[in-house]
Amino acid sequence: MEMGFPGSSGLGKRTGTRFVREFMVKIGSGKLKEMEDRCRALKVWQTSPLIVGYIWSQSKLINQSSKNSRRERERESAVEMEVKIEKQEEENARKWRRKKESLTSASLCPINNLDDGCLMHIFSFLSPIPDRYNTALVCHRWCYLACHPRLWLRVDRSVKDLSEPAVFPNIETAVTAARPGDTILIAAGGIHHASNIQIKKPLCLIGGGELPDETTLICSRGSDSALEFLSTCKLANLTVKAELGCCLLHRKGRLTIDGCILQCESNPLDYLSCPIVSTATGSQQFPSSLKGHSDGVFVSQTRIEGGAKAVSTSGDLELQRVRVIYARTSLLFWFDVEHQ
Amino acid sequence: MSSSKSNKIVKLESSDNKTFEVEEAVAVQSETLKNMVDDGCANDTIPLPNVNGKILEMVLGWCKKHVDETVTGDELNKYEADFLDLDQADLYGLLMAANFLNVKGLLDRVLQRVADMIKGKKPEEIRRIFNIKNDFTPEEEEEIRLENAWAFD
Repeated sequence: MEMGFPGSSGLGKRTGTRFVREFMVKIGSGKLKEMEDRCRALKVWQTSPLIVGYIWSQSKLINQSSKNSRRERERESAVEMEVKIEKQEEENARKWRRKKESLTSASLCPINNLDDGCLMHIFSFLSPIPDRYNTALVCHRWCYLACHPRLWLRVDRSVKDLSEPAVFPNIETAVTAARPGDTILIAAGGIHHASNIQIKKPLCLIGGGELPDETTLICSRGSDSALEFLSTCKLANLTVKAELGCCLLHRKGRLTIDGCILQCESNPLDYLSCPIVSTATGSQQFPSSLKGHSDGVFVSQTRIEGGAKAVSTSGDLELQRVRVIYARTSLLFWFDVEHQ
Repeated sequence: MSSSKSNKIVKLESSDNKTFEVEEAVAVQSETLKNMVDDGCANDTIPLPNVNGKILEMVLGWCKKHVDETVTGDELNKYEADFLDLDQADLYGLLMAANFLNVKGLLDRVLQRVADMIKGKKPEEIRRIFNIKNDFTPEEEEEIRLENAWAFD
């Protein structure tokens, strides 16, 4: 029904406004126009159409015999609305004044007069969890600077000495030096040796190339795994290869693997190796409602090759929600390993 | 490189037209002034339009103290700690000046002080302290929370 009543499209969904619609039909379009004009004059559209309808229904447009009493009632409710509108306008004016003040005088927010380098230097003094994370929620500029790659640690095998503050020659030293919540960027090209690196704090390891193939971690024959996770971590854009043994050993925490490649070398003892081994048990202390806090491995868009099977669990976590895409040259997996 | 370093005086003028005369050794603690001296621009008074007199005096005091060889390590530490006991307005002025003049030790200390003001606070408190406007929509805020949520158990 075409009514030209602003917000009428939403009215149908709300059962409480059926009476509003019905009496509007009774009024007819002429009166409706008058109503709309009156509402616009009172700026009633700032509130909801429901209130408008309610007011007009209160004013008993339809059943009114004498015009005077109708006008009186209209005036009463209009006055009520006017008072409300006035208060709203005062509030808006106050807010606008405050906004104008902060826009015009930069001295009210002097910290944002600092250049990016300075602010990033300040953020580098803060530990990522929880302080830098909180600064990222302050405003857009701070979010951009707090999450900037310049604040990440870098692993670059070609670096000879430890003079540059956040650059490390190998992954172990970077992991040791990192603070909980730090991000470590592993330079692309060449091979990084990773054997039994234990990660006991929340870290994010990111490969520095465009594709996961460009950053490779190799776990040599003698070790159980390349990376052992005892804490919530995230891996992205990396290739992890294991010659014998597993690529990733998950003990506890939530491990997120996004866009990586996990390969076990094919060799006669294949049945002993698995790309992902999880010995975690589902956390008994958390009730199932806290789903987001349980241990598990969450894999997305990851190529898994070799090994007896993709995931081997010795705890009581299980494979769930498995999706596979058969791409031209490989299989891409999405799955979660968590407590049922 | 100037040949006679020992007695050269550098003249500085702050934004409120106060002049300060300091030895070159003191002035070159500031990288900015050091570059000017090395480039030979320091023969006349150097104007510093974005540093006012009070702050410039403080910065020069810091530089003098660090050049002075009779000051012990402990004294220096105490001096530095007391130095930074300032109210917010002065702290910002000092921060801008240290950034502009690029006095490394002072800049690090002041930035550390600002970082200490941020440490342990929630975003809303940080906004209140530094008077920063929240320009996130609720959806954007939620998105950022989710992005970083992987790190929280």
